[in-house]
Amino acid sequence: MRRFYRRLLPALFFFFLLFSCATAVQAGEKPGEPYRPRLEMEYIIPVIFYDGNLYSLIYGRMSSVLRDRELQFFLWADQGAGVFNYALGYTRHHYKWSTGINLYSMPVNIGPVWASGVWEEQTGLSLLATYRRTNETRFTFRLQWEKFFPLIVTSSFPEDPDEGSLLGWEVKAIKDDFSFLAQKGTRAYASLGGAFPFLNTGYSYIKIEEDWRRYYPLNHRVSAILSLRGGKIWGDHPSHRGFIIGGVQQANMSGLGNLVNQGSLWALADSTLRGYPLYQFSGDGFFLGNLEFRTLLYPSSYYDLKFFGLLGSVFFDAGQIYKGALAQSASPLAAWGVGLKLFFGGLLVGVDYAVPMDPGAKPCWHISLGEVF
Amino acid sequence: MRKKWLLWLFLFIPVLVAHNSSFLSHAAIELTNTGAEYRFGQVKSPPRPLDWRVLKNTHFEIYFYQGLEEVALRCQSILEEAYNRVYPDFAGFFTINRLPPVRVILFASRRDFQNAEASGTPLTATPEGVAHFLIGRLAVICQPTLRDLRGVLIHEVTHIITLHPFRNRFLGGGGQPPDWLVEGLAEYYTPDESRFPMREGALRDAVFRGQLATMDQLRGVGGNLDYAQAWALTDFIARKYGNGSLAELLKEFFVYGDRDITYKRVLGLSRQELWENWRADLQERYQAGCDAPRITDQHEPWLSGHGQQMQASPVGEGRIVFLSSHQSRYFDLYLWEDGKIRRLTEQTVSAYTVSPDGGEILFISDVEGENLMYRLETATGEITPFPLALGNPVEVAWSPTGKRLAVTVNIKGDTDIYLVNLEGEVLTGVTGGSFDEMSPSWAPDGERLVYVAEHLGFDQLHIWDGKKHRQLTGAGKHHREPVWGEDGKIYFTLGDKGYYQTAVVDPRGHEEGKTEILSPFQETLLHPYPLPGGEILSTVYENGTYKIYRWHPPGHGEKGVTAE
Repeated sequence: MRRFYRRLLPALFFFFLLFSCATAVQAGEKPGEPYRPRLEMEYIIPVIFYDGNLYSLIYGRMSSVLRDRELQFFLWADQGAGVFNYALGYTRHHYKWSTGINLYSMPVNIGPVWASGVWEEQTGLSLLATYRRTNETRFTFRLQWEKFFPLIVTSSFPEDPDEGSLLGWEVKAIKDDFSFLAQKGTRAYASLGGAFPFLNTGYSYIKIEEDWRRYYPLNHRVSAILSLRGGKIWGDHPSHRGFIIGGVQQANMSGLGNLVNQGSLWALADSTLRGYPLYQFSGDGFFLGNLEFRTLLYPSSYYDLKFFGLLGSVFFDAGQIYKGALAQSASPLAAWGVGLKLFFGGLLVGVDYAVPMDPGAKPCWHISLGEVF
Repeated sequence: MRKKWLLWLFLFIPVLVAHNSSFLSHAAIELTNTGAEYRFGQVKSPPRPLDWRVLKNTHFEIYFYQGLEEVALRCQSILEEAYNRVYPDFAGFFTINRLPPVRVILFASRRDFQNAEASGTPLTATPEGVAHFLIGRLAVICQPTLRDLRGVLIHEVTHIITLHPFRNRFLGGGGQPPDWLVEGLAEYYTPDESRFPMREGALRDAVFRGQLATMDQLRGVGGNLDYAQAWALTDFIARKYGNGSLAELLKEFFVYGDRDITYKRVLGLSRQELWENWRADLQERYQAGCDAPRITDQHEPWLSGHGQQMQASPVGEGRIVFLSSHQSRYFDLYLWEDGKIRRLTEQTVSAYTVSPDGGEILFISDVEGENLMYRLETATGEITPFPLALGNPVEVAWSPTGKRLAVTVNIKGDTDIYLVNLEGEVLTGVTGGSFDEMSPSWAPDGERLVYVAEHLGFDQLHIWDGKKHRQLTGAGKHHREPVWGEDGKIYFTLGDKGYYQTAVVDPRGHEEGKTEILSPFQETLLHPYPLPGGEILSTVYENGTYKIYRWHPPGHGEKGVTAE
């Protein structure tokens, strides 16, 4: 037996050398060395001064050479005012998957910039993942803990905002093959989310939502857009994070499972029910439909659109919202109207004049920023 | 007060960043970029996993992946050439802080580039390369030809070498250099033969029209003409005041901005005086053809409207196919038939060839992000992928016998010509040199090919007879876009310095053919295609547009001018 091992060991050693050589030759065929990601500072913009109180504003970004690892951070601290706000996000891309973690504590505005609904302080941690199936289709996953309390509430806001914390989740399938130049394609998502009680988080609910928008080019200037939205919440959810409709581009408050409840400038509008004031209706279930005919007044083709453009539209909006099984309006909510959109350096500014079908309601003007739908 | 102002400024920066990103900001305080934070918008989905490696030397780190090993090695030598060409003139910027190794990220195709986070551009962006000069990184797509790759690499490396030392100035106060100098430097250091030829053609046309941009207008550089003007102005300063003045001027711009004082300190004259001197220099430079008649005075464009048009060729039965940007921002195939025009493709087409019977068209498109060949039935418009056994096709020419194709491909960093059958299988390699060989065109007998390859700094025509190669032309001008006519002569584009004319050479019986210029016009004429009746289809550049003209060489054989 010992003789066997004595013979085996040199043989193994021989094969080891052979394998090593083969590996070395193979490695030699490929020039260079394997890439290993390492975070490096891209830029940092710090403003720090002291006038009895320490004041600091820092915005920066780190990334690896191939940007498959990214770290962004924002800090705003004012010792005198007792302010310490921060946001930190780390992203990792690996082939079709992207994952990220966000840590934040900051006041967030819910609502258009000219008609704030609620300013609330949010502190939280979110874990995000996306499977990027194609450029146009993806699945996203979210797990988020958040603590929130209201700072400022406008009188027109229909609900009394909660103070609390929750642990939420969301799974969403998204498709977006819309081409602005061709004015055709579909934007849609279907989502399932909710929250469950965990370590004193107080809410437990399930929420489903869909958003489907289809763009039909009729010729080089004119297109028709059909939008259908709907959603339903079952269970105990923060009172101000249900569905709220009325007006244009209000608050993204119906963003399913999106517990951040962002209301940042240029955010995509969540709901469009022109002819009614902002925040007029709230509830835990809704449906909404929009039909709009849009024409490019200047220039003559979307392909010629450079810095400046002008669009006109005719539209019809309709919907309903419920609390439980109870409709919040006796008759279906519906309005028609006309609008103008100014395209200026990539930013869309819209003005719409809408006439509600309800004879008791008055026509009203709406302003929007960004694509309404 | 100042504190509040700064506060708002800093709150505005993330919002601005979000707005300028490809997706509309959805989450106010989520700073990741996974795609989960966007309600809508298209995301980057890499088409395949990439196995990245890095090739390092003193000056560069080249990042590449599978299939680019040979190209990466070639890029290394081009980048060293770029470094030696540019760095000495700006070495003074690096006396305290040395230039760190420049990171060059190579992509095999536009699709890989667009779908990579490393490009730092939106999904829909279509640049050939991007210089992130703040962090000393380049992201570059491997180009159709070695010449183009060399041009893009040297252009982008120049940005890094010239701007990286001032990266902190971009984020802080002080002046900024105008775009004409930033882009002009990059174009100036790019070798002449690697610069896009029609940029200078656009410049020549603008000089003739008296439409040179003002110095104010050149603060922003956009299209081809702007790049050409930026190059010309930089070139003028370098010739008149020396290369050293370029570095000096750049440095002073960062201190004083684009004002008279900057020009006076470095060049000793005002901004307006510089512009006037430059204009006079250009008028002197572009004398060739300035007294010639204008084709636009003698002929109407073959088609009115229909955007930019180019590369027309007959498809039999009186039909003509051509490329146009009529209904998109990129070129697509259109068919003219009995005065009616039909769009054949809805994808970017970079090259095409028509079958001898006109029933089919093979075209090359990068609509899927990498160059692929497609087969199109002319009658039905049906498009199917063509199973080419070779990667990265650049051009294709259908043999008059209908059985073979001459395909130009770029597999190893430069272009080579192969013969393939109609099943896409390789029959033989025609060329395999280490430089670009391209633009194949078949002889009427379907046995010989004419193609273009560089010789002593100029593109020359070469003939391959199935076994041997011979150089057909040798004049000190570029000979491009050959088409072997049914009369046995080879029609091609001849020119240099932004002025290109249609010429013809008879390949029979001479070692070096005698070239005769056919177009006596002031304008540049491209893509000649001889028609059976003696007429020629050409693409004519004029005032920023390309239009197709159908013209007859005046007194062909009598008034022609000999090139050699």
